[in-house]
Amino acid sequence: MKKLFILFLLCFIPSISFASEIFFSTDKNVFFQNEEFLAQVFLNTENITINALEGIVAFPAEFLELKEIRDGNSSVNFWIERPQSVAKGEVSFSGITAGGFSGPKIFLFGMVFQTKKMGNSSITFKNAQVLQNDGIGTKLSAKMIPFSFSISSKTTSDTKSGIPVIVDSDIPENFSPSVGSDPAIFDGKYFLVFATQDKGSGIDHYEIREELNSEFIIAESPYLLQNQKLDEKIFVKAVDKNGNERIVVIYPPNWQPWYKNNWIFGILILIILFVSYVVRKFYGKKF
Amino acid sequence: MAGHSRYNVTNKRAGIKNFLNKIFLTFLIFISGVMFFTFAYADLTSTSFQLENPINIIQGGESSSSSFQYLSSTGQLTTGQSSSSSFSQNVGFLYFPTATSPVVTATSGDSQVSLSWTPSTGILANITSYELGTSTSSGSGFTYVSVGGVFNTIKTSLTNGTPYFFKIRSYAAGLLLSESAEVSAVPTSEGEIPPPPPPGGGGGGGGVTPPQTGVMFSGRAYPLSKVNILKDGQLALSTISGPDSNFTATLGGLSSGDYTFSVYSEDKNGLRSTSFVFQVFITSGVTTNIGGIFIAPTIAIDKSEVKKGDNIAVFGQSSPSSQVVINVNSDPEFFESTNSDASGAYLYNFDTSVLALGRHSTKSKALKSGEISNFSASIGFLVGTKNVLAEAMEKVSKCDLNEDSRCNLVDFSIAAFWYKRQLSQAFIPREIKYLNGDGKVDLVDFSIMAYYWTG
Repeated sequence: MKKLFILFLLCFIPSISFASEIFFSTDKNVFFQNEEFLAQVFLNTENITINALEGIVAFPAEFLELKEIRDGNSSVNFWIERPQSVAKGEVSFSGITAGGFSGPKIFLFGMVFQTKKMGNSSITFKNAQVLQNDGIGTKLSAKMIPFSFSISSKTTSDTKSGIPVIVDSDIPENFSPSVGSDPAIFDGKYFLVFATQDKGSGIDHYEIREELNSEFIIAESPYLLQNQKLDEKIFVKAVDKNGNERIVVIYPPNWQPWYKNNWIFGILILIILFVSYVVRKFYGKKF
Repeated sequence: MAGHSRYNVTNKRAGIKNFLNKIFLTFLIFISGVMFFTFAYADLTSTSFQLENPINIIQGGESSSSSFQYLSSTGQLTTGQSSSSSFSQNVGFLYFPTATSPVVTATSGDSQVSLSWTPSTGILANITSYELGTSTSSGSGFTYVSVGGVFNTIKTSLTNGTPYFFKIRSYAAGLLLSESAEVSAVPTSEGEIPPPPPPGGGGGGGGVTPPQTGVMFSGRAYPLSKVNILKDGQLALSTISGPDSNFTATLGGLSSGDYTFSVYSEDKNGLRSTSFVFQVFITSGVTTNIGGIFIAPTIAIDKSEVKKGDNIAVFGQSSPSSQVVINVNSDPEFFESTNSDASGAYLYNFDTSVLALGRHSTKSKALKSGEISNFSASIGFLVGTKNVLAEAMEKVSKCDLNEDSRCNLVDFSIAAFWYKRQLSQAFIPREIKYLNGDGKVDLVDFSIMAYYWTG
């Protein structure tokens, strides 16, 4: 009777329900030593539209070495903190998607690990937060599902057999950098903001050239503009991890095409007057 | 004596145990009985009429004939609404479930078309399944097949070069609630140049030149309104809808991959609609058609506080000559209906006599040609003892940190600058006005920005 009663109670104890699940996906969970594998991070939104998320991936540094982070084709539009190793055995991330997303398997980013010594361990999440796309940032409970793995005593020579090769010949997506200013940052000086995506290998870095004859320099958004007069074209280059490049040109507010430049017109008028004077002086008598 | 007493105690314990056992078994029998009566009885049918779940006391059902529709309800004696924090029940003949129309994406392949659609959102109903309709004629001849509760399917065994038209219907427990606009596609073998798009239905792929990787959008907004399309959060293109509010736009130069598109419009008063957001996988070398986008109406009210018993005017713009349903979120909820005029403008004077004193909110949605939009944004108002005129609606009420009437990457960068930092005294008032006002910039503030994003 007691067992029946406990069974009855168990049936009616409310189970903890989660509004979303964050989990890893790999092609297997038993590896050789020195083998590389790809662990992708996905989110199941459980039919709720999510627009912001953050968290930390914690991995055992004694068993795994982080070789690469892949965020190409991520469903996150704008990273507040791009997935990066911030401490030994930790990768932190935070980002938003305008308007949100929902689905059972939303791709966030991937990590390539190389196994080290033999043993059993797991990759886990810490402090994961997902927020609903409701205009007030309602926090939703997130079930953090770890990934358990085993590393055998054997060593493989084909270390990268499990890593999908990224074939990416496409240049990064088109984008429109904007010039902004705000008294709260950069002492109110003009800055440039930019972001784009690469659906294949992911964005590697950005470069900026402010004047026609200067060199491209590596930059991050927001970028404090050197030319605060905003009268020169600005070139922004997005480079993906396969080396494909897209360059976009920004015409800041004070930039003018040459035919609208009064100085050029003034010089042209002076040249015309000078030529007229010379013609009159030397050939005037003949005409 | 002591032994007798012990015997009595033991006997009493056994009696109590026996009594509890009986109560427990009675309870189990009762639960089993309820479940039996709930699920055991069959539907009643005739040639022209069907009554589902005739004595079902837990869940309702739907019955219909050519001239009659019956939505059975749970057992409650009076009309009205019962609710709790996790449950609400609408009883009687006051309420009819509806659902938003799915937006359908069609991508041509070799002898096949890949279709996906946005989830249909049920109002007073939960969508449980979808049907795919296929036709070779625009507007007629659709043959429907159930595809279950999924959001994508592949229609195979099609003839290359033939234009096909597709629709999606959404169902709640067998009840048809909404239907999408049709979207077309022309299956094409690899390397073959598809024929010109079929008339109507938003086109079907390339033309005389090989198709590029891109997307063709079509749908309804407001007459002659600006329609903005964001690609992964950045403004990718804008177009102007026609006098009939219909719009089409093509975005090219895309790569193969997952994209998030947001579509919103601005009405004649400059008010912005809510964004219609959907994720699409774009296939290389193919133009994907996304049809049936129905932008939600804009909405405004004339009073921020209304004296109980006076009218509050709810107005905005939608597609011309469409039915606009206005929902007043109260206890109970109210659904009122009006029609938009030839310019798409609508107005409804809601009598607040039926509302209790306190805060309420209202929102609207539009119905036209069998398509149903999402709800608009929700606006709050107070039912009180005096009338207070509403201030002009701001174009962007939140997120606009640099106060340029937009919410975009500049605002994101300003917020990112203060992320997890102590705010300056100069920035605190803006954080209060445009973010959540807790004196810091964290993920909640970015979530607010993502919601109000305009690109």
